[in-house]
Amino acid sequence: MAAKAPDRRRNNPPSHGTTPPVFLSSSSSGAVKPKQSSRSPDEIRKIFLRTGLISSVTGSSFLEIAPLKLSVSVLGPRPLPRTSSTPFAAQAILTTEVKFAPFASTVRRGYIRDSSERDLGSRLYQALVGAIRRELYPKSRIEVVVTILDSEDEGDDVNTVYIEEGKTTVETKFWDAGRSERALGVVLAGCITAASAALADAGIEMFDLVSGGVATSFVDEVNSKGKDKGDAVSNKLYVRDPAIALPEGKTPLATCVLGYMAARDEISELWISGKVGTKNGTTEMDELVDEAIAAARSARGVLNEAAKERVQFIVDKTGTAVPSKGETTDVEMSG
Amino acid sequence: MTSLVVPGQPLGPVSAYIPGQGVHVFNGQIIASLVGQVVTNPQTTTTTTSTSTSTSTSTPTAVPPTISVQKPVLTTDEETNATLLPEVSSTVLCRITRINPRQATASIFIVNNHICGDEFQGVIRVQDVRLTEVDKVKIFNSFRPGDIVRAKVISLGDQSNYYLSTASNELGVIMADSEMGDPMYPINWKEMKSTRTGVVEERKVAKPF
Repeated sequence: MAAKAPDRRRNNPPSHGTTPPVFLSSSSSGAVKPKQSSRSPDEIRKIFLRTGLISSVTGSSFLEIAPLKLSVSVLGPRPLPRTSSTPFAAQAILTTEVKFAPFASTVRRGYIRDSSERDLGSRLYQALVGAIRRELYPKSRIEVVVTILDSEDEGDDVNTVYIEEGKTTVETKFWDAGRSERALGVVLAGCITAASAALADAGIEMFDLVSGGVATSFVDEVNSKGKDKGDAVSNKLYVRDPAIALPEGKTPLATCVLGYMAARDEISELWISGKVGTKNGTTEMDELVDEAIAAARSARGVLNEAAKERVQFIVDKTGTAVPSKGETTDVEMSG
Repeated sequence: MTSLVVPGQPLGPVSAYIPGQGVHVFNGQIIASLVGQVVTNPQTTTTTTSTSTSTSTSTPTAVPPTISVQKPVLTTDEETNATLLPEVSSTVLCRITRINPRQATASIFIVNNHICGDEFQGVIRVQDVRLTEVDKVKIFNSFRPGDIVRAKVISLGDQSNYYLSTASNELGVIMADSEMGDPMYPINWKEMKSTRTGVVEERKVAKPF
């Protein structure tokens, strides 16, 4: 449980929700491992992405990847707040905010942003800031607000807490070391993809769309137990867009999340956590990154179509043909 | 039916087109930066840029067409103004919010005939009120809080204010109420008259169209 100041402005429910505690006799053996889905490791889950759902903001999008649900609002470019301490800004100032809804995970979250939400926010900033043509919007700010409505199981260490029978203190049991990284990675990749769609919907000029990709490397459980890695690099399994559930008999090694601009072949944000070998050449890390790029490329296809969908809808509805539009602008400019 | 493009999509080499709105140039390629429809305007006698009219008419065949990407909108008022920002030399309409002897502070709500989503703050400094006899200008006799003023942006200014100017005949107060709260009409370039009481008040009046 992250330390946080008490929120006095709202009538708070209990921070851990009101679901009855699950008592387990032993942590790892008795823990219910979620079922593994039947898709192949190089296949990402189906993505539902739609833009322009919130009318009160400049741009918005909604994304769903199996259990993950999130909505993105883009506000601006709007004038800088009068009280801001920033001097003259020749480029737009981007602010990103990621917030889990209190009901997004099985353990209830507070209304105040915690450390993992701030961390996701700064990573999302890094992924997007290079893609936006900020020099076109001087003296203004662009706000990207992500609300995660549902996430795959838990996304924080706090969520791997198990209360054991007969014990008064709560102990954290890391029965799956890469669990929170995988969960947060899928969330971050979803945030990046959805935020790009929302920025495109807002009509903010960008160099390229950024899509998010995740990949995790797994090894056989027996190899990891022995702790003698190095010789056991052969049977590695790379899974794109990993689910929270572990593949049968595998244990996670490292997770890579990245923001990828496919048209320019540029990585705007890279986050690797776990154990990646660097001794025997650098192929281990490169392979992991390549897998994540492949996942991001797959997501880009969906992103492109989603970005076009709303514009196509407007074109169909208004019946705007390009030549007439071109002529009207000519008139406006000459007049 | 035209196809739509997404940011990052190449549209053609720089040699074939002149980049217009909604595109950027990368590695010698013109790349879309918006989601929308591609519009190409052949550069003939009617050019989109007013400055190059004379040059393009002299050599109409040599100039490649302008390529730009436009995001279609449902209605004309909506959405176009979402990403609208004042630029240097844009004409704006603003409401005077407060005055002091050095400057009048204004809230910009229309930029180039488009309503902006958020109001921007601007200032009209005393030296920018009119073109002549600049040292005799008194802000108090030029603007009052509540006046609607047509002005031109002369600088992006500092962190919070756009710098505006009314130093032109067409610029100045276009709508104002008297101290009693009655609407006034302009009687000359520096005075306005109340419709009800006939009281004359001083303003820096914009020349009516």
